[in-house]
Amino acid sequence: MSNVVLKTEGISKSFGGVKAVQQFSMELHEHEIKGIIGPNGAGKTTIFNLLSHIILPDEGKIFLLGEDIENKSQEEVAQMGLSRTFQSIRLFAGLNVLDNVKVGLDNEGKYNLFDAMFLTPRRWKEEKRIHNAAMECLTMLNLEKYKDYRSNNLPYGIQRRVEIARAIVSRPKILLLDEPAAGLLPEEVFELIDFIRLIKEKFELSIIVIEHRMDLIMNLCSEILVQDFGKTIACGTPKELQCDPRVLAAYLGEEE
Amino acid sequence: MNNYQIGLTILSCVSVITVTGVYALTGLCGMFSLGQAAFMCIGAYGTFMLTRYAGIPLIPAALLGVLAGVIVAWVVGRLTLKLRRDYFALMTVALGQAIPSLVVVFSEYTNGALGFTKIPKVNGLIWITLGITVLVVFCIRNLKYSRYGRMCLALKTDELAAKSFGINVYKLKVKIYILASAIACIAGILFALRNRYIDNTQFNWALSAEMQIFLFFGGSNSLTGAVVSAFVLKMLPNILRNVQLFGVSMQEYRIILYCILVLIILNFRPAGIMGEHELNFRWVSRLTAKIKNASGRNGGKA
Repeated sequence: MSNVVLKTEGISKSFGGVKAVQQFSMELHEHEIKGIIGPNGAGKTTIFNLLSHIILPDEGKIFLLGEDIENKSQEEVAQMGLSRTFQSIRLFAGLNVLDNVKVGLDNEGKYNLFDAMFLTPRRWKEEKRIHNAAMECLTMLNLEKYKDYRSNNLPYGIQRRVEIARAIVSRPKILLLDEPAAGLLPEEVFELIDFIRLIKEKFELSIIVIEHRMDLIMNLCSEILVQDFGKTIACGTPKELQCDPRVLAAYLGEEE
Repeated sequence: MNNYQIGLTILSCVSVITVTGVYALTGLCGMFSLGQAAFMCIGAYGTFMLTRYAGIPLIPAALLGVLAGVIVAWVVGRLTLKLRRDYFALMTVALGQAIPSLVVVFSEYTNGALGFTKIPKVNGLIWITLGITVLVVFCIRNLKYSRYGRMCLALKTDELAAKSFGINVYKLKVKIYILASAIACIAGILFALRNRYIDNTQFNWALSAEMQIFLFFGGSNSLTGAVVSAFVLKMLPNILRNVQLFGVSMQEYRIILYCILVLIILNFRPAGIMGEHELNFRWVSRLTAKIKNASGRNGGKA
């Protein structure tokens, strides 16, 4: 079995009386795509927020690349190689597509404020490197023709792809996709499936994806976790889960 | 140019310098500061108290004056920049009031409300001011088109998303706040050298508000817009000083004039005169090409 890149041990989070996530444990292996499904309010996005340390768990441990991230800030977790997208698109509206992707690299840019203001050779060299890396990423994902567009003027499907491009340009190890197919047309969903496969191969990613669209989940994931009211109610391959009565009950309601 | 015009140009340049700093803070980072005049005050008083009481020559004293501003900005920034933006804005109002009041508290040294006058005379101040203005605008322009500019614009739109790319939002904000404050200090020193007189009322809340007005008039997303509006709007009331309205010079209506301009801008062009456009050579060449085209067409018709 390949290496475990992300592991959680019984993480829980409550908001007041609402137990959003209870005793959530999982292991994500290298080059694996794992799916998380569940009805609205099942705590799926909370799991992502816990993993990316936007909120901190009440109990339990998270290991990223073998390291406990308990004392790390959100920024540090991101720097360690965990990247994510958001349920609602959060592109930077003031920047064009190319600059949006560059932001994914900027924090690691190796020149300081002085270099930036006085245009030192180091600034030119680094800017060139960042530019080339961002362009390479956009070209690889067939997005280069949109590079000068303002992100909010683009069709929804393209915005989704730009957001993913921005998340992976810094070559993270793990990518968390939060409902990447939300708001997409059926044909766009199939394009997205191919797109996610493509980036997984080219960027050697391990991916966790939250989604409601069964076609996407069933096509992509090697293993699926089913969440309901904060608890993991089932776990298995797409085939196993398709007929699982517990899953059907959670999604469609109990049979009379 | 006569003395009056030189003085006016220097004053406008000082306004351009401060607004450029405010642009980095508000335009790039989205942090609304209503206390930048306090840093002008620190720069001016810091420098000229040193030249007077410690006998330090002007240039090292000016550097120390800027350093004092940097230290204050660093302390204040570290304490307050974790707050939400609106609370930060409130805090800057308080700072903008507190620093000039300190001048009165230490009247023994600063001469309080009577004003501080022992300011050395500098020859060719206009050239120094113009040089510094160009340098500051050049630096901030480069900042905008660097990784810092992009990160600032990113955190302005969405702090949470910016953090998820590993950007340390807090540290970046502190850096930009210090930078903007250092620029304000420089402007304060030039302002004092021009007037050769400073008192606490010159650095009050109205001056800080004026900077924000200039910025939003020109377009808070456009550096060139901010620079041009800072220069022109500072000059305008002085040019109109001979125009009388109800027996009072237009200069007295300065604040009213600015308010009217702000209301017009907010209603009809909320993004400012320039919006997000920058004046650059490409733009100028496109404009001249357009004019050429138009004249060519007219020539054809004739």
